[in-house]
Amino acid sequence: MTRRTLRSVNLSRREQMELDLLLSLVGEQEGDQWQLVNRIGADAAIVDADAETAGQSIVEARRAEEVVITLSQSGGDGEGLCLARPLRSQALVQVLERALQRAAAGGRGEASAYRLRRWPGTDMLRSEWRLTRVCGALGRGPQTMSDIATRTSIEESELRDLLQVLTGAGCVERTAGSARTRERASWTPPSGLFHRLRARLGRA
Amino acid sequence: MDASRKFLFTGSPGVGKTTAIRAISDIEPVTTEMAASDELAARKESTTAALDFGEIRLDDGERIRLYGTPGQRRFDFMWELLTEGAMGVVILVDNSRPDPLADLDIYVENFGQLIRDTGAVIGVTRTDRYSTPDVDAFYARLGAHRLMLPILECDIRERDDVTLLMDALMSTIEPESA
Repeated sequence: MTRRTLRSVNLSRREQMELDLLLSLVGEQEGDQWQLVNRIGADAAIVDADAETAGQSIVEARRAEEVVITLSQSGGDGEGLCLARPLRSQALVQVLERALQRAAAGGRGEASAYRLRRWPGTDMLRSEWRLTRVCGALGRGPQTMSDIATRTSIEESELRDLLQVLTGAGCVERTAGSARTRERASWTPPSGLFHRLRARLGRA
Repeated sequence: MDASRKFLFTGSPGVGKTTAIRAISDIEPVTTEMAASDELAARKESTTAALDFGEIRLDDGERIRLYGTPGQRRFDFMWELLTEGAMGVVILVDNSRPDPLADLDIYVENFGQLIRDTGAVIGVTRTDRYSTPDVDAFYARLGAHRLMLPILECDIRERDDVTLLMDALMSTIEPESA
């Protein structure tokens, strides 16, 4: 039996207790024994995607090379590493298995496109300004991560985290369809103008 | 000065266009007022029947103009004039009004070409006291127009909220972060 560590981020005390109990039950059935820890640098981190600081927490987890699992009310699209509240043992087992696969594969294999379902709320946009860029790019139609990275100039490693936050919040979903974009009719802003304006407004 | 460096703020009378512009303008907004002779007098002390004008001054001296359109539909002939050269539009919807979704229809339809050519953001106000229709209903209504735009609940008295509206608007046009 292999021992794995899971760090909880911003979960309530009750949810931590529920998670601890589920992990102990799951461990009795499966090959891997997961243990809930508080220290950063675990094998995986489960992050409350509904929290205002979700974006920042996910970035920190990724920097610590933890596989990120999000927990939210909407639970995202059922794919990836997204869990819906309340926690259920079967969903947890499936996500933990995918987390291990993701860790083994180095998080690759994301050739499918992402589709914007809705923009996140103001609290989430306040906490992470790059979410507006990602949603702005996706507003033109479903796109692959590579396309989004090109349009937003955000590194794919960071973009993965942002998309996970958006997926966990139910704002973005993966689509098996081919990426297509709606190009705007004729106008583009003067070079650098919006960057300077964003800087002036404190959003750059 | 290049007249094309402008954004529009539109929405129903009394929604707070002047207030939103004031929240981010580097000058005190210039407002032309006239006494309201209809039910608007019961909603507020003054009403804007002409243009609101504000300005953001960038560090390099460039100026971004902020225009508030007249809210009353009897002045909608001015809306088309104002869209010329605009970089995008902030549509404010007052959730305390009898039919906010119908209000949204009006401004999405009347500014439809500008929205498609540039971008737009929807700011829904007074949601702290009037929670319906909710944001999901607004998205459904936008979907009927075949549009996907940011819809943000906001307090347009707060600079941070108006800044967020502007950032979302710019992201619909140019999402690049640098």
